[in-house]
Formats: sequence, structure tokens, C-alpha cells
Amino acid sequence: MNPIIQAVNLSRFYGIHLGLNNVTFTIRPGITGIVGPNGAGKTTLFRLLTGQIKADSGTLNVFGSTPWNNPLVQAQLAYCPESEAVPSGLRPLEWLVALAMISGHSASDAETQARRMLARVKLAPEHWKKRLTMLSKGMKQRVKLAQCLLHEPKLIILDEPMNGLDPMGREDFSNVLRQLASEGVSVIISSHILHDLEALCSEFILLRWGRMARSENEAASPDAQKRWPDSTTFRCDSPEKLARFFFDRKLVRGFDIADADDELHVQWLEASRFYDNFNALLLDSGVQIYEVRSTASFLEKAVGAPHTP
Amino acid sequence: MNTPPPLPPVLSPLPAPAPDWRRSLGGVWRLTYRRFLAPAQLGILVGLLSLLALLALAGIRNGNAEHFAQWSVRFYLAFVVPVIAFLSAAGLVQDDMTPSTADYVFTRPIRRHAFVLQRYLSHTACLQVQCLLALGVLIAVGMFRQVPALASTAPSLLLAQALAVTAFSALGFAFGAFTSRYLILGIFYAGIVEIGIGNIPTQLNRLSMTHQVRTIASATTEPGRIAGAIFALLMLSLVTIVIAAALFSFRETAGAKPKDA
Repeated sequence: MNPIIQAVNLSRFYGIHLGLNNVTFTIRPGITGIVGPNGAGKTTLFRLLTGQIKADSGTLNVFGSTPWNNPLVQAQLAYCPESEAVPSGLRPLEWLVALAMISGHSASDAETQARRMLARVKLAPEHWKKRLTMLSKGMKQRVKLAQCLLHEPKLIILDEPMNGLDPMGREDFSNVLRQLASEGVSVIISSHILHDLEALCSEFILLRWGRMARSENEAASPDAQKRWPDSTTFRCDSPEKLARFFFDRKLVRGFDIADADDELHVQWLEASRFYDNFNALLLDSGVQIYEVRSTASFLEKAVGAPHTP
Repeated sequence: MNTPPPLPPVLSPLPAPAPDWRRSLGGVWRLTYRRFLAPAQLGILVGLLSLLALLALAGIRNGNAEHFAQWSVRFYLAFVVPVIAFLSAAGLVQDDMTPSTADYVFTRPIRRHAFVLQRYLSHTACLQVQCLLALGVLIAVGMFRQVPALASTAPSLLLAQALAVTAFSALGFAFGAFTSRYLILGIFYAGIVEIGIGNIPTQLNRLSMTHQVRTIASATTEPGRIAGAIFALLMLSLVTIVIAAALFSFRETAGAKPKDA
């Protein structure tokens, strides 16, 4: 598949502050996750992609064109910002109608489209005519997603869209994104809720301190997903005995016992030494095991891993 | 990876729209006039109208047409209207650079200079209506004070007010697009151009927009000078709004500062 976005040596600084530092990547159609801690440069990247700010150096192409102040690119994308700032004095329906008209819909089409999109994001009609500033955070997130869908964009950029949503809301949100992807719309999404991202995204870009912390899509590669988790949680009848057993065999770097839950959290010295032979090891321990689970997901591992540019 | 749940039926999409100047003007108009109808804005309007009524009641003498005209021109048209038009317009432009507008509007297929022009037209139209209410209050106070010949004074006041709103809104757009410290810049401008140059009895005083407003509103001015003043105000408005559009087109909006990153 041809990439929809290509960045080469892209940098953006704010005076002496670092925004993005010499990043090179491509994004292909589909759902792509942008992952990184606060201040990693995610929002800077999004504002570069949407043409709101200019790159200091390097090149950036979105659908083959430079996005800065370029209506041809902006006609094909939509942006849902992290900020909760919404215009005061407006109601969701009238705000969406106005934005749809700015995107080129006639007044009647804009009204139709606004209603459809508010329904699509499952905002109850009784909230359509409340003031935007009166809505809860979760409702605002739904309205912000609805405004993205008004003009049938080819690419939707979502900055922390799951913030403020309850689990059902997150599921609704994810379903809308999956449906968009199935309709051929590409999505770029950042979120601190890594499990949701893992369930949604086919590819990831990891940012840290303005740099690419991992080479492109590594975290989601089959190789990365096959790696054994560095940390494992056991629920068993005797966490202390199991901890001693692992410790005697020099398998663990450290462990933590949660007595209340009968749980043992283990950090492996070399995870493969346990997982290659875990059946026999657990039988030898003589402890009754109820549950074994990875403490960190592959994405959490990737985010938490040391910087390797 | 989780298995995706069954998807809801796909909506038959409307045809993808193409950017259209007239439609986007409609959208910008809707975004603009709704601001004026927000409860806080309406509260401010009622407060300002009440204050104007009180000041007019205190400042206008009973049955004195000349004093009414002087008060209306020197205080209301040459001070109140310019200040309100300037601050309102500059504040709006600064708001348009914040995420609540920029993230949603400037990520759409609209040229920034077109947005500035559409915003200016919409904002000025709304402000004209508000100032019409204020002029109504002033006329009502004049009637209460039994000022004679109000009917003959009102048209020139109305024309001068409409042009003052047009010109000072454009100036507010330009200063607001240039800097967030538009108030300081505006005070310097008022001191140097409007108060300083505008009161020097030479041709230079035509650079002062309040001088032109006073010329239009004055009952004794010749028609030729009134036409010249109207032309000058319209040209100054055009030049400043073009400057505002150019400045706005080249400026980064939301996300331009480290705290936004």
C-alpha cells in the first residue's frame, strides 16, 4: 500500500524547546497509533500534519502535498484535538452545521449531515441543543468526533480521543473507528490507554522527547508481539513459596507480593528461561496456580523500553 | 488483538463536499452571530446600554440640540463606538487563534484570508446591530430630554456610526492579527494618530479616522467633504482588513507556542 504520509528528517522547535527532532517515518492507510508520554511531541506532530504549524526543517507530505495552510490537504483530513476548548455560546447541532458549511456543505445538507454524525457517535438527541460548554467531558469527546466525520475525510487525526469516556463510551468510539477503517478511512490516534490502542491499531509510532523512540512499526511487528513479557503476574495459593522457588533458580530480577489478592508480580531476568520451560517449572514449584498473565502489554513494554533511536 | 464486534450498518454517505465561498460565509456567519447571542454577551450588552443611558442622561442637557450633537459626536461616536468596535474585533481575532476555533476551522478547506474576510463581514454586521441599539438608546434619551430636531440629526449620526464600526473593526482585526498585545498597540495608535495627528489643523489630520467620523456627523459639513470622509473611511477599512488577512495567513495559530506542544 502506498503511504498517505511521509516525513523525512522532520523537526519543529519552539525557541529552545523541543517539539519534534529529526523524525523520519511513513504512515500507510489503516489505523495507526501514536504513542508516547506527555511532551513526547504527539500534538506537535498532529498540528504539523493538519497544517496549523510549519516545520522548521525536513519535509512532510500528506496525500502527496505539504499540509501547511493547504486547503487541498485539509479537505481530505479531519482533526479531533485533545484540548477540551470548544466555542462558548454554541450548541452541538448548530456548531456542526456551521463547520459542515465551512467544509462546503449547503445549509440543508449540513443540517442532515450534522444530525447523522451526532447519531453515529451516539450522542443522545436531548444533548444536541444544550450548550457545548454545559456538556460533560465524554459528551464533548463525542461531539468532537462527530465534527471530524462531517465532510467524509480520508484521514482522521485523533489526539487522546478516549479521555473522559467511560468503558462503554470507549467501546462505542472504537467501533466507530473500526467502521471508518472498514470504509477505507485512515485513522491516526494517540491515547494513553494503551490496551485500547493495541486492540485498534495495526501500526504504531513511538515518540519520546521529540524523537522516534522505536523504528517504524516495530512495536506492532510479529517479532515484537512474540517476545515474552518481561513481567508476569501469578495468582496462586502461596505467592511467597512461588517467589522463593523462582529466586532459588535465579530466574527473577525482582518480585512483589500482593497478599490481599494472593498475587505475585515477577520481573524476569530472562523471560525466555521461564517461558521455554514454564510447564515443568510450575509443576516443580508445588504451588497451586490459578491464573498467569502478562503484567505489561507489548505496547506498554515498547513505551517503557530504553530509548533506541 | 481483540476480535472486532459486528459493525453497525454503513450509512449511505452524502457526496463529499467541495469548498465553496458562499457556503463557508454562511458557516462563519453562524459561528459569529451565535457568539453575540451567548448569555454572557447579552448580559454585557445590556450592561453597556444601561451605562450609556445613564451617562447620556447625566451628560445631555434639556432642550439643547447643539449640546446633544456635541456630546453624541465627541463622546459617543469618537470615543465609545471606536473603542468598542476595536476591542471587540481584536479580541475576536485573538480568540480565533486559540484552539477552540483554530483546531476546528483551520483544519478545514478554507483559506485563512477568506476566513478573515468572512469573519470581518459577519462580525461587523452583528456589531452594527448592537450599535444600532445603542444609538436608539441615545435618541431615546434625547427625546426624554426634549432635544429639538432629533429627526434631522439622527441620519448623519447613523451614517457616521456605521462607518466608525466598519473602520475600527477592521483596525481591530489588523492589530489583533499582529499581536496579542493589541490593547497597548491600540493605546499608542490612539495617542499618536487619533488624538495627536487628528487634532493638528493640517491635511495630515485626515489620517485620523475619528476626524473623518466627526466630519460626517457634523451638521455644518459640506456634502463634498462628507463624501470625501466616507471614501477615506472605506479605503482605510479596506487597507486595514487586507493587512489583517495577510498577517493572519502567515501566522501560526494554535500550537505555535511551547505550552501548546
